[in-house]
Amino acid sequence: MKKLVFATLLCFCLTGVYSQIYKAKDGTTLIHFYSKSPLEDIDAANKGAVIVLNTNSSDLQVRVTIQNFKFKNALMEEHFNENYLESTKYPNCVFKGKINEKIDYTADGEHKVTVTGKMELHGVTKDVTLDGTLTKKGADILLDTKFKIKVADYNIQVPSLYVKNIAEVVDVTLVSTLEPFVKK
Amino acid sequence: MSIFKKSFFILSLALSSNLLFSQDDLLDLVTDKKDEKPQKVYATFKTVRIGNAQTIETVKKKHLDFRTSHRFGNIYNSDLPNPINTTGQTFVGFEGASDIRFSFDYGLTDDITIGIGRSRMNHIVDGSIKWTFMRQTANFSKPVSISFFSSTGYTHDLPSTIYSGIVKDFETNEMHRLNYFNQIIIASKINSWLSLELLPSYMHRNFIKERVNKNGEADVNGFFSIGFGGRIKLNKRVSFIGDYFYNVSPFYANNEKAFNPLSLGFEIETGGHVFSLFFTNAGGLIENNFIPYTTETWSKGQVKFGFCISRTFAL
Repeated sequence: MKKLVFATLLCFCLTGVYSQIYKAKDGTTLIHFYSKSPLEDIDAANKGAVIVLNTNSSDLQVRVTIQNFKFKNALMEEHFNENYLESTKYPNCVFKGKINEKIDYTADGEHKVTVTGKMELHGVTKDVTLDGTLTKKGADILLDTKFKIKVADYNIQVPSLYVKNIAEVVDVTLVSTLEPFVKK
Repeated sequence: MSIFKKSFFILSLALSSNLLFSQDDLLDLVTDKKDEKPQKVYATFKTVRIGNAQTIETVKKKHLDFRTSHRFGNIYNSDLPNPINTTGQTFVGFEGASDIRFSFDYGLTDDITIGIGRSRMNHIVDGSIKWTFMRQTANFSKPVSISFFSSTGYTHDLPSTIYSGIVKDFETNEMHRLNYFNQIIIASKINSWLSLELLPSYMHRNFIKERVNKNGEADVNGFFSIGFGGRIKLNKRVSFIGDYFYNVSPFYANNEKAFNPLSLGFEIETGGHVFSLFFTNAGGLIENNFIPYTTETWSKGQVKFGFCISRTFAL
């Protein structure tokens, strides 16, 4: 009996299962942004964000690599990285926040949630509150949110020549499926 | 029993330490630095040429770069009997046109660009290919980007011009109209404001007229040259640009009629357009012209204003 407890604990220790930590599954995250303007519609998709949720503390953290935003137009992608987001200087967009609602993670169900925290983008950190839905489905947690980013808030300068090409406020959507995190 | 208690204590300590972390560590907890891909380097240069010299930049896939280049006449020329007067009469060289060129460059892939163009100087129609086969990474695990550039020019000038000054019954040959230029371009974006490049090159002309320098060294069909180029970004849109070619051929030393081309100027990028505005002693706009046929020099004030307007279209 003692040996069994010992062995179980050992296994538990070695595998490092964090029952309360959820991490985005590979290939399930899709972040999209749209800039709609009189002259040009710009959109880009990012499939490689790191998303972590701690269900005990309600902490939600997201790290998005700016260079992973893929554009249909490669020249736009270069300008996005080089002239606007300056991705070499500021490689990531990081959000660190807490889910305001108390959620019962033991049962399946869809919840409307708000997340309050700090978003760091282009070297500027801002307090933001995002709305979205959190769905517990079996072992997974599904996240879905839609919010707006005001370009000027993050010191992203648009030359006067291009104010008609780039929207002042861009729409961002994020969908992801989180699974319990297992440390390799 | 005591051994079990002890080991249980140690185990639970190990276990709890595993689970203890502050809020800030959440992202680090689930990611491994080793898994991160090195960041790409964007825009070592803004367009396919600096002033005279090529860059490692290619035209993006399915994009077309339409370039209009112009090289005016000499701002000043101390060889002339009354240079100040000429400068005024030609409005600092704007009366003249040493070379005018239109070209189209198309991105077959993000790394391979093909181009065609036509230059007024020596009436050259040319085709070119550029392949950037190595791209620099931001962490300098690959410290440089490397391209191969090759261009072939065909002069459609009249035979009487091509062979002028040569005995009349000289045997003409269609192959005489061709000239070739091959180049390796090694460039590095040192930091956000400084990019440098080195361009070992080989020029070959099928037909040359006899030219001799003061040392008695004759011009040769094929010779090496080495180019240097760079960009200093002054702000997000404007850069200071410059490039220089050194011709490794005895003919180009101690020669009053053949010089090494140097260009200095500014580049303004406005999104889809790139404007290059610069001063150079070279009359020609493509390698097949400005490398072998730069006949004037900065030291005599024989500097020309040049510009290039590049407009990129997404097809």
